[in-house]
Amino acid sequence: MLLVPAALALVLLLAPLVALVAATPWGDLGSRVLEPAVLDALRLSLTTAAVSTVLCLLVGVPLAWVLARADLRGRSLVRALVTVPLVLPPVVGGVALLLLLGRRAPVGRQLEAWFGVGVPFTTLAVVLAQTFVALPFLVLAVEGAIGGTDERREAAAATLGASRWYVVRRVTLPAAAPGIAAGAALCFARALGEFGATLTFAGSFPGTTRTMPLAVHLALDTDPDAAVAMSLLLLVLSVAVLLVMRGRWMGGLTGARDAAPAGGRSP
Amino acid sequence: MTPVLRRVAGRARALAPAPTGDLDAHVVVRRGTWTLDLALTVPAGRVVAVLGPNGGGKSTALAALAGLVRLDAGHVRLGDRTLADAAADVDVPPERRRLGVLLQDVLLVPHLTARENVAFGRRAAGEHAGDARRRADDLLAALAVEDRARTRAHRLSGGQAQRVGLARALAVDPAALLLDEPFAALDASGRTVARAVVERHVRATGVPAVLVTHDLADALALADDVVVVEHGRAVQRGTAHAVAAAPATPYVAGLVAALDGRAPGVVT
Repeated sequence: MLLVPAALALVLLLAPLVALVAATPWGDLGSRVLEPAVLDALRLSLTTAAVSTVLCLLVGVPLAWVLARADLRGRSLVRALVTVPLVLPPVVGGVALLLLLGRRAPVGRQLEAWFGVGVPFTTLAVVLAQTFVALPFLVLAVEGAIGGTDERREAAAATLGASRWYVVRRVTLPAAAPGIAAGAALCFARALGEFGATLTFAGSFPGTTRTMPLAVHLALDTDPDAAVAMSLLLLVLSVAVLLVMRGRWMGGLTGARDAAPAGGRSP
Repeated sequence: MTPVLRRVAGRARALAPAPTGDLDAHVVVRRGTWTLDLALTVPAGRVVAVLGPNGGGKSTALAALAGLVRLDAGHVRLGDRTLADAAADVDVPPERRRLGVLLQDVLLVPHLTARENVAFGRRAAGEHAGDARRRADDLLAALAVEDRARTRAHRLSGGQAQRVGLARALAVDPAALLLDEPFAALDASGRTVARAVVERHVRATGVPAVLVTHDLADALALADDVVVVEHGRAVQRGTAHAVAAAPATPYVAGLVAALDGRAPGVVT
């Protein structure tokens, strides 16, 4: 009874991808992917997504720790606020970023006065747009990972004289490492695919803000085969992220964590 | 507070033994309608066994001494240090109590090796890795688990983990030992070795030791005095032999009977 809608769901998910692969111009795929404009967009996408992921880790892991562990009033309110960008249409995020950092916005005008350059329509804007949409994924994933570690282990480590920060570094974060890695992979994939906020806040300038998704969208009108080739490239990248995430991190390390708990009662 | 660390010229810090003394505690912990109310005095260099059934409050008492459970009333004093005093709102956090704690569930750091677990406290205090490791290896050897030094804690058996947990507690040169069922997962020979290590440590360092157990044999082998805790209260106190000779409650009488039935003549 349930098999029919289940199969339908699978078809819905996979048929478009099959169509993409079927439409791929295999013959001149190599030359199309190696075109300077494509390589520029790919390089820009990979570097901005990597920088955004690092940025998300630097601020997101501490936020996740606070949500998971700190004695915090209004924790669920903070968590709800963190989730807003997750459900917000990315284009709205782009508009919001413009209203904060645009040339005529108060903060943006001040930054321009200090540094001489505006944030919008620069590579920095790409990174900020990606960070804005990807950060919630990382925070929620890492919060779950930290929340899933055994707090009593941290208490036991504290009795040995370890400061809170030492315990976080040597006990909590390593135990949460698989979840942090998975969150980073998810974050990277989301940043790589970012379109709406980037287009709104950073525009589509070749070399500086035209990432792969923007290049694909542009090419769809002018050179459909190039759009298909680039889409296939993004598909391969996404699947690669998924494989790395599941294969090495999820499988390997959660397996280790689920192994017999140290200090069982059997001799 | 006394500085616990001293600088060794030109080298990483070494962990100095903590100043010790008598342990004097009165721990009151309330959980709904259940109340733990236990006075406990352990002279320096002595072992007091806290004996009792599961749920009687002995593990809670130990956690309260360790600073892992907050006191609702009472105090914990060690030598001239006040570790907790509910009336004065003093509650020294566990990481600054300088105690050697082995919890019932051991709770080693799973991704670290046995050796790294034992060296953990000394490394956390800033001691040089080599020095901390040497100390760890000595203790692992004393407890006959040196062959597992490089094994990650999550791969250790229950008995091995317990011995590593004991070594980890002893390694920090604590001002007092708090051991919750430290021999429960050990076989007979492991138990003999571990008891001897604890006894030697207590006699050599002169620290007070609290031994939580439900095994009368542990108490008879190690403890100078015994406190029987049932329903959150002390129901009998005395030397191990006195308690064994004149059980005040059916629970203690049951322990004596079990001990006689299990291994007659093991008590010397």
